[in-house]
Amino acid sequence: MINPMLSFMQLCDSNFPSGAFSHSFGLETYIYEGAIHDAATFEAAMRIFMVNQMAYTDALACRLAYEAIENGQFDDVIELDHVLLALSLSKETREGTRRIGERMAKLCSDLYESPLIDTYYQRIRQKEANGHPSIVFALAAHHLGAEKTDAIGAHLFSSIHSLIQNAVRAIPLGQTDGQRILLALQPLIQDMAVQTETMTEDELGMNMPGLEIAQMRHEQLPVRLFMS
Amino acid sequence: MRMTGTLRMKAVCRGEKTVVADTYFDGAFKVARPVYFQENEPTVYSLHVGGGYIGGDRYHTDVVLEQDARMTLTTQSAAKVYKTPNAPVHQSMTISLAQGSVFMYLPDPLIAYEQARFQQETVIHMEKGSTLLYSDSMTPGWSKSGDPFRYDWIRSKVKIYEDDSLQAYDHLFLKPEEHDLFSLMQMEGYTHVGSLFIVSPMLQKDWQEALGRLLESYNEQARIGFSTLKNGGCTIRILANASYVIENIILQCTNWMRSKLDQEPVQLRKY
Repeated sequence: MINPMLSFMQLCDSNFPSGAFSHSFGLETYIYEGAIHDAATFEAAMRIFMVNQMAYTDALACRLAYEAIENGQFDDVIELDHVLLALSLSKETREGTRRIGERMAKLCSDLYESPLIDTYYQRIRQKEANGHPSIVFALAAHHLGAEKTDAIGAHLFSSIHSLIQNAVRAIPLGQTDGQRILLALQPLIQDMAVQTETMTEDELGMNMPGLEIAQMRHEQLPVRLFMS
Repeated sequence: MRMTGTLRMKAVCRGEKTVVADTYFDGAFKVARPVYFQENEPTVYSLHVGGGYIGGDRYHTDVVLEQDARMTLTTQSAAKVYKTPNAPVHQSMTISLAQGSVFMYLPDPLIAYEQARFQQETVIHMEKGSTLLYSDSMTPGWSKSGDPFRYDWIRSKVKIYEDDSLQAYDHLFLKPEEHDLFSLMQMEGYTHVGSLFIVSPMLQKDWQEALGRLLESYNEQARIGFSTLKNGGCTIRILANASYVIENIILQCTNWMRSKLDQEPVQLRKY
């Protein structure tokens, strides 16, 4: 019997080799330009990023994937996978998310005996799907018997944890600052996980113009620590 | 559901020339007779006869280009969205492009006034080998208080399918109060947002170099991002503080693309 809590801890561990440590999803542009330069500016940026971007993409996608799995509608999961890729207009962010999704799918397919995760990974390999971390996380959480809201919260936590680790290296921040921000963001993660229930499918992928531009401009940065 | 304005048109290629056949309009939408700045390409001006959009209005535009047809669609003036106390304004557009066709959409900006709520959804179906150039821009109306951001929200979806496969899905949501529109990641201190998409077999891989240089010359006036779509198409997002800056950038990019298609620079002669 697999313990969902311990499994979540493994999935969310910064050592879990998803490749997320190579991506900033546009945050590096702000660090390079100086808009993000210390713990306070980083935490403020993270809150905007979480409430206006992750809420409508990662959190809502995780919920929709989880519900489709629960209802036995795997075709809807594949459809969601294609929509999520198209929603990402910046090439680096799109490619980065796809790569993390594929890597997580392979890893989870190796770790768990889940026919659905195996199928999703096979579809990615056959180029019939692209791979998205929110979908893999929903598949893994469902396989582990976790509740939907916990799955969304854990998924947000792991993405935010990676971004904070990356910021600690890039800004740079002290390790304690990084941990303090992660703790400070916990109530927001919890709120977002609950709020996701009230969203409509129609709101999937709502985005902010400034962030998209930062993600696009990352392609032209002269010095880069991250691939996106 | 009853529409406030409907516009349907189909462009057909007859030999060297494109003619606009089957034009239909109803309600608040009208089109003037197509203007031929160049013999092979009509430019169609749509106009809103009611003066502005108000709450509960619903508009639909349907554009079809048959094989090898070429057409530019623009508006005669900016779309003004006024207060929408009861229901938002809803505007939808479907564009269908057959192989070899070239469609350019160059509307005036959308101006959202105090307490306006505006939702638009554009769905483009293109066959491989057709060319799409789609632009739009949104600006706040200025209220008496002199405060630019008083609209409630603007939500815009643009979906581009190529041979029935979704290639790009732009989903913008601008909501001033809740999100502090001026903040980082949102409008970042700017008031106007513009977007441009180009998908075309004539768009070579090196478009980023050519357009990148052009866009760089606007660095003082605008914050611009550009990237490559999943199908190799081009996406450009612009933040600026004036409509004319966004218009100029879109016009320059459009003319660059038109030269690749052996079309003369765009002439809109509106003002």
